[in-house]
Amino acid sequence: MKRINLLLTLVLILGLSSCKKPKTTIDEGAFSSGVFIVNEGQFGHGNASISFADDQLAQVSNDIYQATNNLPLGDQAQSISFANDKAYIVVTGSNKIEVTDAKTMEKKVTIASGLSNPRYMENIGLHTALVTCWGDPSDATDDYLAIVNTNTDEVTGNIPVDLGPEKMVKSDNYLFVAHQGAWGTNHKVTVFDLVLKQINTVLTVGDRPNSMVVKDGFLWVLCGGEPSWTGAETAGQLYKIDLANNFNIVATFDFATTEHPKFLSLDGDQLYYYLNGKVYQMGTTATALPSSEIINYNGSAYNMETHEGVLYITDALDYQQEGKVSAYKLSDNQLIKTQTVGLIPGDLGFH
Amino acid sequence: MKYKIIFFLLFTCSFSEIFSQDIGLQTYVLDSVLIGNLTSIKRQKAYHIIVLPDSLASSASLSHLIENHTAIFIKEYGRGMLSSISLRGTGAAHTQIVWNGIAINSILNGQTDLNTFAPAGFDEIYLKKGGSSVSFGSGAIGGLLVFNDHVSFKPQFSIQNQTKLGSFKTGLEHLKIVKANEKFYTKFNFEIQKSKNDYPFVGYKLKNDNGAYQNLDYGFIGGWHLRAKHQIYFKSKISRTDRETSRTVFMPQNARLLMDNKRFLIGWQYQSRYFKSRTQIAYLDENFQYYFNKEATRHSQSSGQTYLIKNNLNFQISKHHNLLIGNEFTHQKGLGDHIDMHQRINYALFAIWSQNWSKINTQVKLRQDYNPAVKIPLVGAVEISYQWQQKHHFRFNTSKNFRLPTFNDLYWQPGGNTGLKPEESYSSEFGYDFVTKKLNLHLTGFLINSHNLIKWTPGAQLWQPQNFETVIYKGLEISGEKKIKSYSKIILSDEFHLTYQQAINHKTEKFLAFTPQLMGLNILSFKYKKFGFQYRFRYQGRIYTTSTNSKYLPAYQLHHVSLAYYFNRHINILINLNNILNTYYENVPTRPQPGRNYELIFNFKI
Repeated sequence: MKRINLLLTLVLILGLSSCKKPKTTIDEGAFSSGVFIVNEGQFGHGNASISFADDQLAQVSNDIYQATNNLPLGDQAQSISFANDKAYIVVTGSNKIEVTDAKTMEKKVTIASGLSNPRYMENIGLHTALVTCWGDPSDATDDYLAIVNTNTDEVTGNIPVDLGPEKMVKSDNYLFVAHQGAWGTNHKVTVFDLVLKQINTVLTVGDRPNSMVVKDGFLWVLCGGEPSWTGAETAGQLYKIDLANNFNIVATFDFATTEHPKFLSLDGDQLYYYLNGKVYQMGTTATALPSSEIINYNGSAYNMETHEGVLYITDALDYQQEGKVSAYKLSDNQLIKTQTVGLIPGDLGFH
Repeated sequence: MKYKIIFFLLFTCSFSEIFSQDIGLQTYVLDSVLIGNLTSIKRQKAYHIIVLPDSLASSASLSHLIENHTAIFIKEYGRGMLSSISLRGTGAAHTQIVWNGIAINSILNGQTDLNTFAPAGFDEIYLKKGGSSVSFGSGAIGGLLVFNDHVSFKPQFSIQNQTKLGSFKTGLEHLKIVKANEKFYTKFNFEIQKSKNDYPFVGYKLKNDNGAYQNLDYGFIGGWHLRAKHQIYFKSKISRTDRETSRTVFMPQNARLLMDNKRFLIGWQYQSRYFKSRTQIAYLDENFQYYFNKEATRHSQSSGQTYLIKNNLNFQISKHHNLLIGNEFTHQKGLGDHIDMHQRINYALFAIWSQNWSKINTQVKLRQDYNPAVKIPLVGAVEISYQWQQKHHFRFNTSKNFRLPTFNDLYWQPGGNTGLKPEESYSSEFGYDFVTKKLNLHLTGFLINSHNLIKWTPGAQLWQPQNFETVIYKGLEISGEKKIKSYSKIILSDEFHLTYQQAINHKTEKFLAFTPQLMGLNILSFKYKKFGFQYRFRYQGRIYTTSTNSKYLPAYQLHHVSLAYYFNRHINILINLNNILNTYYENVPTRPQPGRNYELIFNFKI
């Protein structure tokens, strides 16, 4: 009886899921060149997904992880990164990293132990990567960088750090970790020495550092500032830090107190950031913030990144429906294409 | 015979042939000497009232009590976890929970978590669909869920005890003691419930980790028949719900949610032949504590207090005319880690004019609220019912209702929006009842049009609640009961409930997420001598989970069986076999409900 029911249920579920959408057929190695879009999914709904598109967004394949592996990805996918021809999808809510073949999305293994609220991953050597982990997001003392062996795909250790480590960026000798502050707030950047494999120093920057880039020996840190609801609103700030000279802050660009910029990215020698629905461009040698925008985005960006002359903006819309990704050509700042992807599209991965 | 029915109802298995006979129940309820609501069932002929059995009979949580007896959607985040009711497709804050005439929904989020409210030990529980803002103010849009303790000065003494043992290390103990004479009435209720709740997820190699709960609930009711026309009473209900928060299929959890509720009221009733006055003073206290890490002491919390004075004056103007004038003053205070201390006061004046003829009953109702912080619209209702011959009953009602923004909507940091207006809603329904001794049928069609619905939406910097949604709700509800066979010792009957409804966002023309369109319940009951048997079948249609209706939870069917044995009028045993086909089902994504499970219930009364 039980077996029959199981069968019936299976038939029903399979029947229903096959009705849901036509099965997308994916060629072997279809994901070799283009952009991966990490769709966070609704909190608690377990509907995180991965989309893939060519760099012009001409064509998009949604739900490629599920389609390839016939498995759901999990709850709240935060980021994607790559090492040794493998993709590492960090799934925060599920406390895990799904490791797949980068070209086919075929699942290889799940890294489940040693991770507590993992956020982003960055390679620091041939077989080593670091993953920022919040631990309990309201606890300021249990945050760490998990050390992942990307050969065996295991967490081999951890390095305690300050509250709320989030995004990371590398220079030749250092890895920088921005501490936005998890559920609280922070104003630190941890400097990790890639040669000595240890923390070199911790820099103090503006409130809520949210994104960084490295260009020509300088680290740029964009700090959002404290939002008005905290009751102690502070202005956004852009820091320029000299890597060759003891991490000296060589320039600080202040925004107005009510301005809270985010999504700093780099293309060539140009910086791009997002503020109140608009995209701004600034040269790495500029001495002042730009006064006018280059793109007026008609919506609310959930993430923005540049890659090889193209600027991508993701939009979660009402967070209860499939979101959108738009691509703009940076040579003329014109919209190339907008595509519908998965629920709450966030991180973008280029491989 | 009547004694038997009452007896049966009070502490034996609540089989459908009894509890679904609304008429029979109403007679029972209204015949006893009681201090009930002035607006009790008798006055609500223009509505189809669903009377629910005291859960001391069936031993169910409030969530399951509703699921077991109605075709209404309950959104439960796993067994025993956060749970809310959706009447006619409306939201969780659109059903007002009414405890002894007092609206008790949380001032913080506008809802009542059904699993924090133990439904056992009450004298009367019923569900009323349709707008009721005139009597109960904010939030009574989809309907009401009403719990009444009746103070009765009829000499009696009883002790009732219920012990339940169930799967997943679940245990419940309820004690109810009632003692009364012509002068005094006392009732004491005590309930403790514990569960490890670690049920396996059907089809997964996972268990419901971090799902344990322990609920404590107790209350005292006291009444004093002061003089012939004066009665004074005191009612209380105190509960502590201490729960872990269940994992999902994909998300491990280590959190804990602790909720404390204290409800007290003192009432004075004066009753002469043509005039009745009832004054109630109530104090409600709610406290939430959320521990992200249950092992740590660090937590966030919020609390709310309500002070309320309510007076109803009832004038029996003639044999056929009645006027009720009500006054209500409320003072509310909210405070928490995300809410600075805020207060709100509200005064309401309402009037209900009734004309009762033998066949036609009409009511006209009006209410105006005065609130210094927000302008509240004048609301009202018109209700007509018509009895045609013995068997046919027609009912019609139309009302305007409202819901105030909650303290979270107004003051939550970040995002709270003090510029919010009240939600406004127009509701109409038409119903027909066919009632004979062997067959009952109830049909209701409804239409609700709600404007300025408050919804938290993402903005440029943060999420904020806005008044911007218009939703049209419409549907058809059918229920009935057929007594198939009834000899002296055999009773066979069938009861069914069917709801078809649509909740459509006016702008996008999409169905609202978390509103199933189709729900059905069938209950087949059989009683022979001392044995009872019941088979319940529940169907729940597809539930969309995104605003574009792109994703949904599939429909499911559940089968439950109950067996009862009545040793004598003091002792009976009930066995519930729930979800006998071990079906995987969920009404919140990735939060599975248990598969096949068992309950053994032992009832004792002297």
